[in-house]
Amino acid sequence: MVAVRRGNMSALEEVVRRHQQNVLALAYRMLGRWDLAEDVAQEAFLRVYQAARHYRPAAAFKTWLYRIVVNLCLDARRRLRKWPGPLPAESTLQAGPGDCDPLETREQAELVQLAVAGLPQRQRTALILHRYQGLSRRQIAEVTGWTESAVESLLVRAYGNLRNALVEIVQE
Amino acid sequence: MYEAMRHPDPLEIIDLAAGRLPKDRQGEIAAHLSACQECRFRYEEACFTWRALGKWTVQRSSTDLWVRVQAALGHDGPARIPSAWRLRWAVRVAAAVLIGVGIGHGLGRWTMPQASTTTPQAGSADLPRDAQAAARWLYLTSLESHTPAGLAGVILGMPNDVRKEVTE
Repeated sequence: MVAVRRGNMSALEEVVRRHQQNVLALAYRMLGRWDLAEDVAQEAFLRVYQAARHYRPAAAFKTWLYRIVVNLCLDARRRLRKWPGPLPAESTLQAGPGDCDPLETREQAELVQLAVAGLPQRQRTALILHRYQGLSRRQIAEVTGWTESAVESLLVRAYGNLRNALVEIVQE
Repeated sequence: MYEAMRHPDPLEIIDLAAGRLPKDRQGEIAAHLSACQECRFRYEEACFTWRALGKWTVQRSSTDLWVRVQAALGHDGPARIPSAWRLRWAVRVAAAVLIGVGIGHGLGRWTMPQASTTTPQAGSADLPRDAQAAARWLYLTSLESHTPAGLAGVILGMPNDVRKEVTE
């Protein structure tokens, strides 16, 4: 990031290539559409470049980057509510490893996605960051600006709300 | 003794199911679970939820973000294609500017003094006091227009004594 701050494009390229998959996955899980996820991811890295001179090495880069991505995703969702676009594109979900019937597990994957999408926005955001991005509650608090106790409460409720829906899905 | 042991936080049980707890804390909670049926049940639920959520995986994207970022920064490659929401914002800003210009023009017209359509009596020997009356008295009906510049230009062209009367 120090090199990026000096306008080093090779350094920026390295940053993009190293983090793009995680950023795209996070944006896709939050928005449900690849086209929006790519727009958000592009914008996030542009903002990283533009804000590089304000970046403090003491802060974890991943946390800072995810904060940008999450805020852009929340903005995009607000705009979607005002101007609803076309229906989500064909799902590109994959089933988890070790499953026997690909079709059955693909359906389960889509149902899990729907269950997560049905959560209230803050619970969904906290859950995605915790379960799929591997962040601790402290890191989630840094990304979202919420308190740690608020993050803990959101996660407990999110996992609790999903439990009943997931029981039905997995038993089908 | 076991009743006195603190039940672990719900999120700690989830972190235990996820394998994210430090080793020493894992040991403490495992010891508690062996004695607490309620917490053991919560742990089994957490394991189930954690595994079920793992069914939703996202395949690696084939998009090369670096090409897009490079283009957006203007370094080689195709020009940046604005996304739909950027175009909407541009339209909103343009509309706001047009509305502002329209309101400003309307207010300007409204606040300008309106000239009367009456004509002076022919043959009057007295000079009128106000400038607009002077314009009418001089048959300068073209000065009943919208900007003071026209009136000022004519007044400045008047003889000194008439101008003094008009502008006092």
